[in-house]
Amino acid sequence: MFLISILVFGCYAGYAPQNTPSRGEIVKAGADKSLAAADYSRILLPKLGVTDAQKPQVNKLILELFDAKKALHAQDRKTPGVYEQQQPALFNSFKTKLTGVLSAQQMTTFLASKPATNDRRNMLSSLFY
Amino acid sequence: MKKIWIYLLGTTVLFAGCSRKSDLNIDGTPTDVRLAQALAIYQQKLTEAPYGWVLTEYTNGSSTNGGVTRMGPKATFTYYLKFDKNEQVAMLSDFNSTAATVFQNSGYRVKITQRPTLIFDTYSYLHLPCDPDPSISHSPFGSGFNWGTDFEFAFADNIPAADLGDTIRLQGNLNQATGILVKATQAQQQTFTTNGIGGYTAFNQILTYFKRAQAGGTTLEITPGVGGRSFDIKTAGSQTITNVGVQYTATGIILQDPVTVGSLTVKSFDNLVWNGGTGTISASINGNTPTTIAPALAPISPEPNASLNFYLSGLDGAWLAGPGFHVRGVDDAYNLLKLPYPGGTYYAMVYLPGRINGGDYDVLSPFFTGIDDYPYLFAGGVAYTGLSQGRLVFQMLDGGDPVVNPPDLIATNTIFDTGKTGPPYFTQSPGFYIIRKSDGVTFDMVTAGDALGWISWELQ
Repeated sequence: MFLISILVFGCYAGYAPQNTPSRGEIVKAGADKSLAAADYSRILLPKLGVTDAQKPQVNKLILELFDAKKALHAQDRKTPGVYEQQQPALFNSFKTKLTGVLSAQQMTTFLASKPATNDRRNMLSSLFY
Repeated sequence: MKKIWIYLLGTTVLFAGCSRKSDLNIDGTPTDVRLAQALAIYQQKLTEAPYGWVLTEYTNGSSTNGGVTRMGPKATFTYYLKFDKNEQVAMLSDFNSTAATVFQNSGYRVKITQRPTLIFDTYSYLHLPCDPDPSISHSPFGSGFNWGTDFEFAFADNIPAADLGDTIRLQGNLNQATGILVKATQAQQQTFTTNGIGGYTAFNQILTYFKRAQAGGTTLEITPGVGGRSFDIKTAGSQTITNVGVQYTATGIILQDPVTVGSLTVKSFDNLVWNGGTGTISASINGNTPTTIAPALAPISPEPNASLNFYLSGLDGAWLAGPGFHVRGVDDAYNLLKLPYPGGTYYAMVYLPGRINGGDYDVLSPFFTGIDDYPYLFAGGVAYTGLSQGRLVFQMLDGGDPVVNPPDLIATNTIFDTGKTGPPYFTQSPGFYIIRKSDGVTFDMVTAGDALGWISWELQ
């Protein structure tokens, strides 16, 4: 009986339908992959002269900032005002971490590149606002 | 001895079973001869219609390929067919404007498969909606799946071939599409020969997404149903969308189900005549109520917050468009379905609101399987989305990737890019109307200002 149970279970497991990702899941996974592999130091900070050694750390910090911003935006949709309230602290934390990676000259250039307003046509705004 | 009798009995039964007895004959005529005679009569029926046939093909909303069936919108296709005795058939089709006016000759056969079957055996207008390549069929069922039409049809009347009359019922062998062959009249033949499938040709002279007509004391709006083979009908002041199948005829359009508009039950638009001077179509509803079908540049009853809700829905889901923009009467005008990228296969145009830079920007870019990536994303496929007077507006941004966009994608991004001028716009684009379709999950994004271009998104 035990052997029969194993056989039955084995057959079921072998033919159990696999979880096929939906079309939406496929394209969202692709987006996550593309964004994780993006070189933000080149896209957003081309004037800083980020070295190859700095790139992985800079990109990691930017991705962390964006993940935190995304979570804040989600909260803000439920409780309007949360993003505006917490964004400055988020940016300061990012700036502190970035100071540990970039040179003083690079940091000066970075801070000087802040767009005067939150002009979304300038993708750099995402780091400062 | 007993075994010998058993063997003898068995052998007798065996040979008796193999014997070609005359019990398959009827009136002394063998089966294969009777089949050949029946097939000849079927072909004779087809070829002896003096003015040809009108074939209307109705799909049942499913499409099968390789044993896999997908569900989708239903469709109706109309053909005018003239069969000859040399197994050639001349045809018109309402598949596109060329097929509606230019006769095409191809081959056909009548033979036995499971049942007596009419087979269109060389590529013809009938094969266009059957093509598994959506860049040819314009099918909304996805790559590998056609409209659920057929090109092999069993004769489905279940009566002797000799008893078939002016109407012959067919059933598709693969997708079970229904075909109705009706003998054409002399007047129909003349109209088809001189004007093609006039109802289709006239109606599609108006290239705008929105078309309006007066009926029953109110105004009705006609927009394309999902996939473009049906009508979505709305009336002034109402958010109700009525989807109805349409059959194009030599001179008009028959609605498969009557639609009540104001005080009138609309069954057909007849005697369509395109007036190039006014850019309108004169017609008569149900053959007796004059009306004018005119282009419109904006929705008759805009759905409140449609654009905002469209954006918000995409935050959790994903908006996918198979084909690209329909522009000035041309489906997938920029051939996105054939968009190349080394190592990848085009999967869909994708709109993912709030996916980039912590939610500040959107993915609005083609996705490729094989590489599972958006290779053109940071070369112009990042969108900053806003709302303006209920319309969705995009600023297309460039992240500076050195990937070179192909011309078809540049054209697509130009349409998306609000404020830019490019086909189909004559002036700077003012964004998009978001139009909910009758299935509730498909939304058309229509170029505001001219309504000459649109792309259909489905939430996944």
